[in-house]
Amino acid sequence: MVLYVSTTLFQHHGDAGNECRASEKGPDSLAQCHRIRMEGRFDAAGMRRFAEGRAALLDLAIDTLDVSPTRFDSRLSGDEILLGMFGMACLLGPSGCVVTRFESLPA
Amino acid sequence: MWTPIALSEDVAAGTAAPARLGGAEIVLWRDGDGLLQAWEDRCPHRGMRLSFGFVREGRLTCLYHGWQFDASARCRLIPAHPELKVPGTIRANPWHVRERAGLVWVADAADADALPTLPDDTPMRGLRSLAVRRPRAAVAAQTGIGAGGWIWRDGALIGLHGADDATSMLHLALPQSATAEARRRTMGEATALRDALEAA
Ligand code: FES
Repeated sequence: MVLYVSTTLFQHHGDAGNECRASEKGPDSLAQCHRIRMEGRFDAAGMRRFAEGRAALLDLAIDTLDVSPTRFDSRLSGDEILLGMFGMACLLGPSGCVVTRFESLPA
Repeated sequence: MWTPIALSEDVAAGTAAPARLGGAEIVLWRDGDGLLQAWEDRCPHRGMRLSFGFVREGRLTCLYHGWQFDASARCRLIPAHPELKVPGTIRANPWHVRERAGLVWVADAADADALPTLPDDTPMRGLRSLAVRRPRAAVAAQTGIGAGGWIWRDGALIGLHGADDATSMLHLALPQSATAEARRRTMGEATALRDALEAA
């Protein structure tokens, strides 16, 4: 199995280009926006449920763009540390979901 | 519906203990002042049993990565990110919990008034919990314990709950004024009851 992670998970990219507008996550938030794409073998509905449940737990806004048995594509915004936790949770994944490629890019 | 699931004295201040109710896993824990909580026995981080954790300064700390939860069930500290203002969405799943007549009672829906009527003027003390390898319905039918999950018998309070499909728990409490001899006798009778239930 090849696991590819595009960068250090959710590392800060220095410029403000991927910072969400504060209004999206409240005035106190240092919100970041990331486009997260995963490839692998998924139960699509289970992966979606897992990802959206995790996002809710971590107080992240999630926009699920595409889900199939081999691909999960979403846009998330929220605290950078919590985005990192979200990525790690998806890599570990729900049972029955295997992630073979993971990309996190500033959105 | 409130259900008796443990003896109060089996959850000491500053400790956590596991319980099961109908297959659901529950952690009971007390802070240093003795305030009792009942939560789903599952850390919202990666699912570790919270009953493996420890209690420090009024918080239940998960054994795995040390996330700390206060009495409101909110996560207050993630040690790997001490600077993080933890969002209120990260929280354990609490049950409703009460203590009465020496027993711990839990419910998954709020209705304190539905607690069974027990004589408040008789301070009770837990005696012992006994596991019975019989389903709750069978034990209830043979002991006459109703849907409320408790019965008075010979001056003792007997609580009953189903831990899972095959196992029930009996919880015994006696008035605090009961003599050592009365406690010994009740203990013997309860053990005999358990053996008879399992032999039936
Ligand atoms: S599983 Fe509880 S802190 Fe990680």
